[in-house]
Amino acid sequence: MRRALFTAAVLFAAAVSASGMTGVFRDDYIFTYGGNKVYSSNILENRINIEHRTEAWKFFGDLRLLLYSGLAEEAAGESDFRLMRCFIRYYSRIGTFTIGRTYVALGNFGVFNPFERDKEISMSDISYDRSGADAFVWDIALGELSGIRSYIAPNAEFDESSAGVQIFGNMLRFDAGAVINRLAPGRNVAGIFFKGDLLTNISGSFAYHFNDGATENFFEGNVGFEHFFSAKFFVQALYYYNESGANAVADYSGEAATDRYFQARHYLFFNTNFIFDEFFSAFFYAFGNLVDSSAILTPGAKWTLNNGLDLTFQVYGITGTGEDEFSMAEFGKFGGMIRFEAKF
Amino acid sequence: MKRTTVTLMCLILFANIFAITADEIIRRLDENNVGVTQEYGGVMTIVKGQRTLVKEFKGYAESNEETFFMEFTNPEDRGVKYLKRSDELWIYFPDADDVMKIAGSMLKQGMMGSDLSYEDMVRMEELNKKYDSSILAEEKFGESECYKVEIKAKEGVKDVTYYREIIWVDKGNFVMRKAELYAKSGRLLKTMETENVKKIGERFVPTKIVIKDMKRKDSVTTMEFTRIEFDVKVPEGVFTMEYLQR
Repeated sequence: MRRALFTAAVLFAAAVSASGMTGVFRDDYIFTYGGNKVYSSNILENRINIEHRTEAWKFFGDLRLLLYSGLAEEAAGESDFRLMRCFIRYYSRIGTFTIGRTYVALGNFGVFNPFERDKEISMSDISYDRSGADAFVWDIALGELSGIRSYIAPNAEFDESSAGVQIFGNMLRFDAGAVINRLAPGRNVAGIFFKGDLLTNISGSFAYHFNDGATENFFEGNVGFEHFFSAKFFVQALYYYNESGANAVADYSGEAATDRYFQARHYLFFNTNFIFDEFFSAFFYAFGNLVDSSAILTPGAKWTLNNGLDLTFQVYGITGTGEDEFSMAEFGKFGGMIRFEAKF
Repeated sequence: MKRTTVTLMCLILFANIFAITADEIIRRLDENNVGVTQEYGGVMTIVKGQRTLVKEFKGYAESNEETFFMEFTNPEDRGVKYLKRSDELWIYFPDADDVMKIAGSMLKQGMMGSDLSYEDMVRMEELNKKYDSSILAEEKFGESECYKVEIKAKEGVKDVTYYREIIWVDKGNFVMRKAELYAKSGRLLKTMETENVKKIGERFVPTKIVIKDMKRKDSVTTMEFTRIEFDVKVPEGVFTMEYLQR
């Protein structure tokens, strides 16, 4: 707590002289129906972003205070204080240096990214950001659309640090790259990724995970497409494969693993968005487990009520039963969320 | 026979009335619109019914490659940046501190939900190169005496944003005062009207553009440029992936 207060004080001091400070106030009311009962939670998130930019460097801080009530309080406690990111970025002739708590973005941006350090998916917000890592990142531009990104996230014992390199470029309307990353002792990943236009926008990532002696290994990857129809209707589909996942319901471990998002080997992510105008959009996204055929289906709609003020309403339905991964016993039969979000 | 003669006489008469050719009008219009580079900043106001959204932006554009960089600066969208090079588009999301390559099919989408598409925003194409033009009439638009010119995509040219346009060009300064933009099917897609013409260097530039997407009801987008300069020296590396992530 003392550390959090200190961080808050530092950020506040920086804010006083910062050239740009923005905030987000987000309130999520979540309800779940299961076992003939309705459970509810409320998550109130207060977020402050501080940014100071010059031609030569920038400072960025992202500080959040979350207040939980209802079912969420039982799971996460009364409140949570998070420093998601806080870094200095310096632009020099030999590259861009980022030091502090920052994202280390490798591979294609989006869900089911085999190169992501922390495999987390928020079911209530697939686009929401993640926690940063304390790291030193060095970006070198090799051309206008190509470059090298390398990073090191130090550990108390240096040889247990994470480190990785990504080289990327653009050719024939495709962004493509290769990654080699030591996530932790005994956890390494190497692979390639691409994304580009070929009638429609297609993407793919192929990663090979291996331990230090390469005696244990597995493959992880995805392929997908996305397209805008009539400039209003967006469709995305992504198939995800993780060889370390189970191939049958009986093999589910029931525990979270660091190198996979869910329990099974095959998944399909489907996302569609109808953008009526700046004030209203409707969406539907689904995660489907192709091993047990269970799925989480999430339709919803978002209204922009005024400058910076949004209202989102979404529900989710579960198709799985019994021991299925997305089962009603685990997630309830259905649920929903009402979100007010103010940006200022 | 009598009808044909009258038509021919009318055509000859019209040819003499328009002392300037349609190509010349479009060339003068292009001279006002097309620069090698641009630096711009402005405010976009989206109005639908009773509701209004305001977005602020700034950026650079380069005509020869139809390249642009744009950054939104209003609090709700602060830090969202776009890079377009030819027909490829990337978006930088400040929340994720990451860049996403966007489907080319998104270029026709309304920018930030407005009536103005990404393609409209970066239209710096020289019309004479891609369109055939003809003068339809001379008309007054507002206080301006205008040439009413029709342009149609040249045969075989496919990379045009709109197949056919009718443009009202001010006779005095060769600024577009109004445009009707049509699809190949003949459907009216959008209208644009301009105001607040300013002389910037040797060019006359409208600093306010009102756009209506005819597919949307009660929706109007107004772009007001608070800063626009042509043939500026663009800072090194602006149209790069590295700059997008700054």
